[in-house]
Amino acid sequence: MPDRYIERVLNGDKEAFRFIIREYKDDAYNLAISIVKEEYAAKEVVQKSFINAYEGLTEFRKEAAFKTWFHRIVVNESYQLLRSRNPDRNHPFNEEQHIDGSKNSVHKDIDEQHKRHCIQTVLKAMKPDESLALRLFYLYEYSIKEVCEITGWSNSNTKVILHRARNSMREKLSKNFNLKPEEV
Amino acid sequence: MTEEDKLFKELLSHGEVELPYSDIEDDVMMNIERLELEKKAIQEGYRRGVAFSWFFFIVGIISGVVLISLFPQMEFQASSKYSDTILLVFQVGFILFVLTHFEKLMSMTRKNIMKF
Repeated sequence: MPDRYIERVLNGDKEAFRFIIREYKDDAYNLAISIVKEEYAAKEVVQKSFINAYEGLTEFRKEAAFKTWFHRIVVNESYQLLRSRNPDRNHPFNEEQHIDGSKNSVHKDIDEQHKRHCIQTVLKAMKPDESLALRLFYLYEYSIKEVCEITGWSNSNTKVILHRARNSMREKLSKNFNLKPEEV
Repeated sequence: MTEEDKLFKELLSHGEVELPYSDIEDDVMMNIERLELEKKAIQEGYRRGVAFSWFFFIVGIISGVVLISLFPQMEFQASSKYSDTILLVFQVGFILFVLTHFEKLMSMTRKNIMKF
């Protein structure tokens, strides 16, 4: 689907880029928020990523999927912003502060909205690398090789980060919401 | 896919959020529009620069040729015995200048055609 619109943009139809924005904005936002953790910063990343993608569209080689290529731009842009804001720390905040006080107050039959709240809060509290790895691997169903391509991590590093991410998610769910992943 | 993978996939699907800013599409398109205008201005400036360079290059060549052809007719009292040497130095300098600048101008023109 995006190929058609990419072709149109390359042929000078700027407005066709709107379709690409509509199609990929939520994915881009999800990836950006995994890393930068703040809504406004994530918006900034999404904007910059689309502009970079537009400018680099002529260099986009079609043997790679547009989605992978664009996600790589978003990830690079997010880390760049993170580095410029927190040059000394990879993790921009104290994770304990960002998990709200709903500890032990959750029943096991939590509703959909609460589920979302728990998962989003936990993802926000996780390290950028870990939440990014989880989203790429489980949500966007990238293979380990593709995750390496997007993030620039090595194969073994990606596996280690994924392993840590799963453990961290389990731990945070049980510690802060008294939940096991199986119960969510 | 293992059971654990399925479980995490299910978990992560609850972590998906929608971009809460509805104006992003217009913002991006506005920025792209601005960038395009800036690019056009640069392109126009570059084209004009190349055209001016060719103009002054040709003016320079004509002036150089005229000067070289007028040189033997000029009378240098103090250094008349060196006039041949001076003329030769001037001619060699002129040819070197023309060759190096012609190459530069050609590459600028090629870049101009390829870029825009």
